[in-house]
Amino acid sequence: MAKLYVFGIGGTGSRVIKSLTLLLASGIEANGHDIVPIIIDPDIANGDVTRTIELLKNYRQVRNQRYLDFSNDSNKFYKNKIEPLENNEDNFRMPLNGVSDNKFKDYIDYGTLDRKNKALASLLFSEDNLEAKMDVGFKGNPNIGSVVLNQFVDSPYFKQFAASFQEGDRIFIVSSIFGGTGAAGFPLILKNLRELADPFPNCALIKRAPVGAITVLPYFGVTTDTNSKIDSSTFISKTKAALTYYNKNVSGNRSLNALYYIGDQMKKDYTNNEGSIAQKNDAHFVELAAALAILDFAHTSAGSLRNRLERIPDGDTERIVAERLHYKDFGIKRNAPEVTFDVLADITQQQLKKSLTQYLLFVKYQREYIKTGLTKAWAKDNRFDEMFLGELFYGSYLRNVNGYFIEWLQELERNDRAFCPFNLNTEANNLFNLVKNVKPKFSFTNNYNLFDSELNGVKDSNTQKEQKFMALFYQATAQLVKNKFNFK
Amino acid sequence: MNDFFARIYELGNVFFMEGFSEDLYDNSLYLPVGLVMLISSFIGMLIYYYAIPNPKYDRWYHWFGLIALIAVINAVYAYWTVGSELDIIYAQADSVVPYSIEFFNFATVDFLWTLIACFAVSMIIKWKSKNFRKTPF
Repeated sequence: MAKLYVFGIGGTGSRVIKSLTLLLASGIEANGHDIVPIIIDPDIANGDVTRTIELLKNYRQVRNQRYLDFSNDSNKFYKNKIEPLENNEDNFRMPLNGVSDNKFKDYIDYGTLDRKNKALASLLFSEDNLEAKMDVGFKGNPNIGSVVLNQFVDSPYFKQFAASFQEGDRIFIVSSIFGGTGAAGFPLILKNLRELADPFPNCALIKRAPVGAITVLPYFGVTTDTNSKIDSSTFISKTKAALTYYNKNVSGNRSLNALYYIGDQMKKDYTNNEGSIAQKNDAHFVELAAALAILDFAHTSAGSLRNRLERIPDGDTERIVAERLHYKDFGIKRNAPEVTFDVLADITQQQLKKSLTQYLLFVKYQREYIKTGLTKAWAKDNRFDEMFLGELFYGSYLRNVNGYFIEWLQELERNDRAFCPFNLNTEANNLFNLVKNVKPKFSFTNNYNLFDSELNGVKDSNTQKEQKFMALFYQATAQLVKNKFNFK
Repeated sequence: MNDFFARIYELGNVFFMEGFSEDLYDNSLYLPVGLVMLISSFIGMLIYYYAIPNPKYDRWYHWFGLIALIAVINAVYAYWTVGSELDIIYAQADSVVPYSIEFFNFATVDFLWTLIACFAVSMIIKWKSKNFRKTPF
């Protein structure tokens, strides 16, 4: 199976990977590509990164072959594989050396520099830059990030990435343009990938691999805090500077195959946290759309992502360039502060509404009704009982992902711009008023009784208990969203 | 058929009532009562297992409530049919029906047999039911 390596740089990178993971949990697929997330963030305790890694670990556990088998199409929840670089190790983060408890000036050995080099360093880096501690990231300073992140090609982790790369694999880079880590990391990773040389294994393959990227333009602000180094009034100027740089060194030299842009003029000010545990921003619609860009890249035909060698006009060297560079951006039908399914473009609706609604119904049943559900024929037939609910698969892994899913939808709903296609607080006696602006079709049996009826009616030949459980709910929810909302 | 139902309703000598049982047998009154018991049990269970779309009625007490209702209806029917038929028969002979508690006893037997019939029909037809295949167990 071909792999799609997704480099998620900085807080935005992690949050986009979180959205991608939850989309995959709901049954959306990456066109047969296994997803290999690689999170790059110097901020070890970053709340967003921690949450994403926990989600990825739980996703992997649910999808574990011991539990689920996807050889038939009876269940598509969790169908897409997400794998860490090192198999059987839940290591999704690329370690960065020398950033913990280290000031930037120590990292560059500023103290040992001679007078001329100190003067040069002082030109490039302010006093604040030199004194900056890097264990909470680069605090919006891409000039620091570009130095520190340049080390990653020397890391054993990157060598593992190179060793695992195979023909047909693709690479996607997620970064924000208005911060420090992402803005610096994206062009660096791209440059290093395209210029990879011996002794890296598979360097020829990696150099020629299809590479896509999304650069996330400002979509949130932070509150003014005189004690913080992060100032959202600089976001736009930083973005302009970075775009000018990208125009020459990223898209201008066609070193990647697809470049996605996304941003939003409607912005919410988050609490100003420089990083660490406190940086746990609410999920945002822009991150969801960015995750869709990854899927779009996965679905782009290999033929239109070809690269070729090109001789650099003013030298003897050659470089890899895309035969065709795709520029893409994302739009919705109208500038609505609250995005419901009908506000999305038709193609996005088609992508999201069936899967998300199905998975939300599944999650609601588990959270609100499963104890009653165990008394029903579908559960008795298969001996789903309290003991099953207490096992690791259900009681821990699945419950955790479901918790993240609901939390994600709640965060998307309370953000600006809000993504709120669902009435998340619908009562059990009003279950199918779940989708905003979609009137459910009438039926004599309704709510969880109808859900049970669909579960009771599923004919499934799987014998493995966990597989059977997921298959029953996938097929029942597919029938429900078709019958009640006409989502096919 | 009258013989068949007579055997069932009398169950050897267990439910045999001197005079009353003979009157029912001689006048073929076991037949309508037995047929109604069997048909109503079958139709009642068929409706329960295959026509009710809502799985919320899948608890054993829903099922038991329904078969108890069918049994009560059958008992009333048995009491009323046998009573009115014997009234007519005895009136034609210019005499009075000499039974009282026997009607109640026969209705009770019919009630019990209806419960048993419903249970038996349930066990036979429930397996293909979408929502109630695990009811009553």
